[in-house]
Amino acid sequence: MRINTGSFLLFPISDLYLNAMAKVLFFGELKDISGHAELELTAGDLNALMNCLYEKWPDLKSKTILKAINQTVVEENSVLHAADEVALMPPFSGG
Amino acid sequence: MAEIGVEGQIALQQSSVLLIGAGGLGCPVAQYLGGAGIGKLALMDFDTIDESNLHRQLLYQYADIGKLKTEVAAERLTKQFPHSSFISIPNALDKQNALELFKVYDIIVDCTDSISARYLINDACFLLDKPWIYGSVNGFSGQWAVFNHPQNKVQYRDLFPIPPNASEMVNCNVNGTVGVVPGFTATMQATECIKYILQLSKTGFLHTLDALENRFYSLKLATKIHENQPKTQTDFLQFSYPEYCGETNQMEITPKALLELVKIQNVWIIDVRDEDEMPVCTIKNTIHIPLKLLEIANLEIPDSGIAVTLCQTGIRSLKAQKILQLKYPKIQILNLKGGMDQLKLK
Repeated sequence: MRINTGSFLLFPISDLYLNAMAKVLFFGELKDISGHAELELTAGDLNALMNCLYEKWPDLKSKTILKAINQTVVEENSVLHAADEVALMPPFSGG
Repeated sequence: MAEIGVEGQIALQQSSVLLIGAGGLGCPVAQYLGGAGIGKLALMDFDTIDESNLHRQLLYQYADIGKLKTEVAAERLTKQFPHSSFISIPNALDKQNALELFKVYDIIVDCTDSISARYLINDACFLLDKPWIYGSVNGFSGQWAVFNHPQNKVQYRDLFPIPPNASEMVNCNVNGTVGVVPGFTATMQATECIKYILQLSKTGFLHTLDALENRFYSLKLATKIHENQPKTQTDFLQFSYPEYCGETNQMEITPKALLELVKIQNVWIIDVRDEDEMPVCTIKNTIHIPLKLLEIANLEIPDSGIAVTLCQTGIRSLKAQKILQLKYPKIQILNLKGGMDQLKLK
């Protein structure tokens, strides 16, 4: 898996077909844990993307996360396509 | 405005809204709904005004400290908007009064600060077929949504089918809050309430505004079946929301019980609030150590007996209890239910 926070990266031709460069948006406490409001990441599907994030930031594993692809909430694993936008939203409780 | 007109103003005047919570969200929601001409607005909150509320609960003044929030709010709103009716309900929300009260109002607005309250409101509205406006804040971000709208029955459980762990949630002054955040979130809740009455809602979305990133983001939601959701009012009344959300545990002590206990034996009190949080805990044997330093701290306490963790509302101290129980397995560590807010030392 490759994480791109802005610099140009070359990737093998096979990745064009198996993996996609997706934008990941972090909200709330997830932004604090990852240290990013957004980043770009190559992954074939949502589960693979999440596993990559968990590996990099293990504290994310214990958090409740609402996941959306292109602004639609998803429950099941989904294939990612180039330029997909994945949003990760935690519950808020303050009032 | 073309979308409102005379008909819209009449609709607003004939509508009734129930706000659960008269704090950081409740105050601005109430003020904007009063200004929009809502005919009847009730505020429900058991709490009294504290100095720490004043920076963001702008209905209240320094001289109001110690008074019931709903009474001060209703009185002040009545002076400001004399053509509307403002009702004070100085009680905590529970399952029984939810079923009784919700059916009397057109729409419910969530201005609470706990996850279990939101599941309770959600399920009561689901059973009574009432719409409600969810709102919550975290740091510089706010979330809001219209749930159980007649045109789209998405609900809070569709966001989070399984409640988050209580120790994940921050209910009080760990990271701090600045008044503009509940301010803008509440403004959007009031907007959705007005849109609902005027039949202008666009439903099925969770909206978030991250003010640090200047990012407004909406997520499209879908309805799902929830096995755990109470299907009848009888089931609802038997459902334990605090337990479901992990907000209670066997090892807790009420403020009244603590004050009795310290009269008869030595109890170590571990206050995990930040240094500047008030009021100071004046109970004998209180050790003050902020939660963020607790794991590495070496507390000078006996290795047996009873210790009680406390914070402002009893949520951070839950986390502290878990940390300390692992560190000091021979001590009985209890969490003070409701925290300093409920202790009310004289």
